[in-house]
Amino acid sequence: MIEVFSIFYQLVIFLIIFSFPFTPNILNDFIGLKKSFNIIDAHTINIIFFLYLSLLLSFTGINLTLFFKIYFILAVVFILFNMKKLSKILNIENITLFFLFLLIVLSIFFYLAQNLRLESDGHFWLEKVLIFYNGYDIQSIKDVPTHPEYPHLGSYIWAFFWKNSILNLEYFGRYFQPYFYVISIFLIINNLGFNNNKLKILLILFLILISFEPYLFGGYQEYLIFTTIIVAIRYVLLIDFNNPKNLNLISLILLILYINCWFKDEGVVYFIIFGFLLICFINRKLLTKIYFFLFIAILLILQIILQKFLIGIHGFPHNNFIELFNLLNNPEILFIKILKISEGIMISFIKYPLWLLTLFSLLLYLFFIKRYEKLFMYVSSSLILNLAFIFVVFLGFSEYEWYIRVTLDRLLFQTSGLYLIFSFLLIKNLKILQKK
Amino acid sequence: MKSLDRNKIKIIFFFIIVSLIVLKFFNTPYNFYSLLNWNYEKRMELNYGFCENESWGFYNFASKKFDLEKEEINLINDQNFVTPERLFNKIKKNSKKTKFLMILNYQSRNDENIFNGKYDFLSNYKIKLKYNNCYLLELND
Repeated sequence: MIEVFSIFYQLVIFLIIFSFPFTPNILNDFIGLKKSFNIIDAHTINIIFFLYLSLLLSFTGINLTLFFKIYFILAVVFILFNMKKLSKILNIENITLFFLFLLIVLSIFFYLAQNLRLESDGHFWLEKVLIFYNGYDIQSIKDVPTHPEYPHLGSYIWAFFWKNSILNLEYFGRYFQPYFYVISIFLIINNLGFNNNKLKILLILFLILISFEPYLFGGYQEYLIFTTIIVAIRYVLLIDFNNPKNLNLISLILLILYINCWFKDEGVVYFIIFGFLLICFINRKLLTKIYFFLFIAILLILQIILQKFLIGIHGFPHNNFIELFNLLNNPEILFIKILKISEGIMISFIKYPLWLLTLFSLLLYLFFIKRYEKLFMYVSSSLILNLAFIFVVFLGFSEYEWYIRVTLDRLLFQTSGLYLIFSFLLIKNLKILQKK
Repeated sequence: MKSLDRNKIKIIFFFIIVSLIVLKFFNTPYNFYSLLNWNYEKRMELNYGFCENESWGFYNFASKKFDLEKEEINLINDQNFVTPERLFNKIKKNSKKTKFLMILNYQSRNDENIFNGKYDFLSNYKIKLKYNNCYLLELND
C-alpha cells in the first residue's frame, strides 16, 4: 500500500515543481505573443527550465536532496502567490482534460511499477545514474565502464527523482519520462485549434495509442528526445515562416532542441539538422540568420568545452569514417549495406504506427493537397537529412546487421514526433475539418 | 434545464467510456492489483528471475544471507544477460580476482562439475552457495 501511496505522492511532486517558475501570463509577456501560451505550455516550459537548471547544477555537484528541497519550497511559495490566477484557469473544459491527464499518467506509473524491468541499455545508463545518486564528483563519469562519453542529463534527472522519492526505489527515477511524454501529447493537441473537447480527448488517446512504447521506458533515453521534439514542434507550428516577426519564439525552439544534445550523442545531430534548417527556411535577413547560426555554433562549442574540461571526456564512440572510406572502394558491399539499411528502415516504419501515420499523411498531402509551403519544405528536408544521417551511421558499422536489428528502430522512433507536422498540415488543409 | 442535464449526462458517459478505454489499454486494474499483492522484491524477482535471466533474486538472496552489500563481487552471467549489480547500487568492476565470485545461469554439459568446466580460474574458489545453476563462490584462504 505504501508503494501505491508513493506513486500518488510522486505525481503530486511533479505537478507542484513543474508549476514553477512560469505562468501563461509571464510567458506571453516574455515571448511577446498574445494569449498563445496556456497552462500546458507553461507547465512544459517549466519542465524545460528545470532540465536546464539540472544541467547547470549537475556540474556543481550540489546535493540532490538539497536541490530538491529548495526547488520544492520555491515552487510551493510560487503556487501560493499565484493561486488566484491559477484557479481562474481551471474551467470545466480544463478540469476534464486535467483528469484525463492524471488518469493516463497514473496508469503508466502503475504499469512501470509492475513492469519495472530495466532493458539492457538501461543498465548502462544506470552506471551514470549511480554516480549522481551516490553524490560522486561529475568527473567520475569518465570512469564508468560503458560509454562514458555519452551525455549525462537523462541520468542526472533519473538520479534526482530516485533520490527524492519516498521509498528510494530505482523505478521512481524513471517516472519523469512518462510524465514529460504525456504532457507533450496534451501540448501538441493545442496546435490543431479544435474547440470540441471530445475531439481533443479522442485525438490525445489516438496519439498515445500510436506512440506508447513501454519497452523504451526500461531505462532508454529515446523518449526524452521524442518528447522534446514534440514540444519543439508545438512552437514551430506557431511560426509564420514567411513573416517570422517573433525572434524570441525561434530562440525558444532552438533552446528546446539544444537540450537533446545533453540526452544522447545523436541529439547533437538532430539539433544541427532541425535547428539549421529552421533558420534556413524562415524568411529573414541574412544577417539575422548568421546571428542564429552563430548561436547554434556557440551552444555546440559550449557542450564540447563543458564535457571536455569539466567532465574530462568528450567524443562520439560511433564515428567510423575509416570504414566509410573503405566502402567507397568496395561498391558491391556498399550496395548490399544500403539494401539492408533500407530494409531495416522499412521494418522500423511498420514497428511504430506513428511512422505509418506520418507516411500516410505525407502521401495524401503529396497527392491531394500539393501546397509546398515553407513549413512543409522544412519538415521534408529534415526527414531527408535525418534518413541520410541514419544511412551514414549504419554504413560506418562493420557489424551493421546487428546494429540494424537492435538500434535502428529506436533511432527512427526518437525523431518520429517531428513528422507529425505532416499530419497536422493535412488536417489544416482539409476543408471539411476547417469548416467544423 | 432538461437539455442541460442531458448534456451533462452525455459528457459524464463519454468520460466514463474514455476512462475505461485508458484503464484497459494500460492494464491498470491488474497492475494496481499486482502492486497491492506483491511487494517490490517479489516483483523484481518476477521481472528479472531468481536463477534465470539476470538472476536478480539469487544475487539479492545471497547478498542478504552473507551480508555482502559492501563486498566487491565479480559477476558472470553464463547466458550473456546483463549482470544485476547496478540494481544494488554497485558499479560493475572488471577485476577477476575478487573475494567473492558469482556465476549465474551456468551452462554445463552432462551436468559436469563447475570446477571442471570452462572457467579455469575457479580452482582457487570454493562453493559458498548453490541454487540450481547459480553459484556464489568464495576465494580460498
